[in-house]
Amino acid sequence: MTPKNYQIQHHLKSSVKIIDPGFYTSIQDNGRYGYRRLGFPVSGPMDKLSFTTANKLVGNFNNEPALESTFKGPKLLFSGPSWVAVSGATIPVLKNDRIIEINKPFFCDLGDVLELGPVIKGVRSYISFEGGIFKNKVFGSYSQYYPITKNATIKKGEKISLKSSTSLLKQTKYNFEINNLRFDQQLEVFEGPYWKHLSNELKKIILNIEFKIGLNDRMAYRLTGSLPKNKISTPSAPVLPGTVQLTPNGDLIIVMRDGQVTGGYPRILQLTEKSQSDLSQFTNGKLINFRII
Amino acid sequence: MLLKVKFKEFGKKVYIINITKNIHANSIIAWQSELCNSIQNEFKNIIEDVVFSLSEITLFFKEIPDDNDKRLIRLWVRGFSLRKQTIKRNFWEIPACFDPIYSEDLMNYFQKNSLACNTYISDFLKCIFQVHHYGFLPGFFYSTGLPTKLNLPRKASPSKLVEPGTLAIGESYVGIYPQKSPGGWHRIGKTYYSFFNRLNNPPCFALPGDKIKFTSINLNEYQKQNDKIYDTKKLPNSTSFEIIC
Repeated sequence: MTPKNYQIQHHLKSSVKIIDPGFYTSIQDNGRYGYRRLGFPVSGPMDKLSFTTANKLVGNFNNEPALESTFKGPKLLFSGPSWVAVSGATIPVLKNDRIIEINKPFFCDLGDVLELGPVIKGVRSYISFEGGIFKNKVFGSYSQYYPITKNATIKKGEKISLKSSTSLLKQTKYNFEINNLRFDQQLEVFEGPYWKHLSNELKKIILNIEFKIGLNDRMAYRLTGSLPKNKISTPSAPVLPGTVQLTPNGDLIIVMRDGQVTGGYPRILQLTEKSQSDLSQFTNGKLINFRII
Repeated sequence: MLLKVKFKEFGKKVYIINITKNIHANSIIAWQSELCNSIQNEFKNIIEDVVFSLSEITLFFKEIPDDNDKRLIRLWVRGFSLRKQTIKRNFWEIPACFDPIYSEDLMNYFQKNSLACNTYISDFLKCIFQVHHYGFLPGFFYSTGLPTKLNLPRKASPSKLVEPGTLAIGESYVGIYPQKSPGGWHRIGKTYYSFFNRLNNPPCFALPGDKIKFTSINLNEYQKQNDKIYDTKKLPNSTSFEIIC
């Protein structure tokens, strides 16, 4: 038997069944690129750093598709062997009702039940499987986004196949420093295209006050501060995850991974990848501020 | 011919280029969209996405580009703009129903004055629109060509749910909702054609630079066709034309 055939057999064998999908759990990979011109959002993990960490922990150095859960994680039943890791929010992880440490790879086998409880700190968790999730790509990506994919999230009773190849496994590997355990409320930003047109006074206010997170989801985060109303009008122009837009009533809208590809509000700032990841771990009521780098 | 290619940083991996080409305003949209396709094909090793809007093209790089990458792109864009292009586009005829049940927002806007509504719709049916760019949702395109007197402001409070196929006006733009979504534009009618179908390749048939004309059908006809056609691969009637620029 060639090694290739051996792997295919494994594809068929290992899978997880969704007993409970959790609050909002979706499959995410690096994102869907090349289709922005048709209005497709890029999708992909909200907290890319934790997603990458979870992948690295199980030896996926090229970011394989993983599960992204929100607040309350899913409950999974394994029907085959796989190394697994959880990273992101601080969350209780139970394997067969016994607590498991996050940010460390662990082994699951046929019949094991993995459950992620409600988050203690943070919002989003990433569950990675060695080799990743085995699925068909839709427009170049595994990321779920309705109506580009059939569903927006994983569903109860669904079976997710894994690409795991446990034979290639070396025990207790991947010891690397995880440097994103702390989520920083000071967001690092670059100047956006409209920044230089703002008055010096307004720039100073934006960089010196705290903003409160309001409505938020995978599309956008809305922030309120005490900015004055404005009548700035700009033509609709491309926006990307991390773009900070200033609305006429003085609120800020930060575009996230499932956000629109164009926006009509002035683009004043642009979050770094690290700060996009940090922001995605905060929710309503959290105070944040900006620092230009 | 006037051509300027200027890079503006937007984050570390995203650059905006402003391009000015001295061609007829009607041709610029099709030309820009062809330019975007070509840049993406030509530089697919370093560029992951290209998007354009009215005055700018945005390049999304895979990694932080160096000066050499930018110089190459600048030279390539100049070369592209000097080439004479013949671009093929389609003129679509879209049947739509303007029955009051689908033009509720228009009725409200004109305070239930059905004469004003009818005049608005008959003026609207005389217009020829041009697909401009996609945005907001997959398959949602902004079309230009609405005369100023037919512009409608965005609604003060958005509708919670707009049905797919809904024809709506937002200021000077015309759009067709490709999926169920909240929406802040005034709804004026509904078509049974699907402008985004994930099972089609390509998933969206209208290209920037395409032209669109709407024809009015009654509620009966709409419902008959809607049951038959919605969410299938059938495309509306069209004739093709060429743009030389």
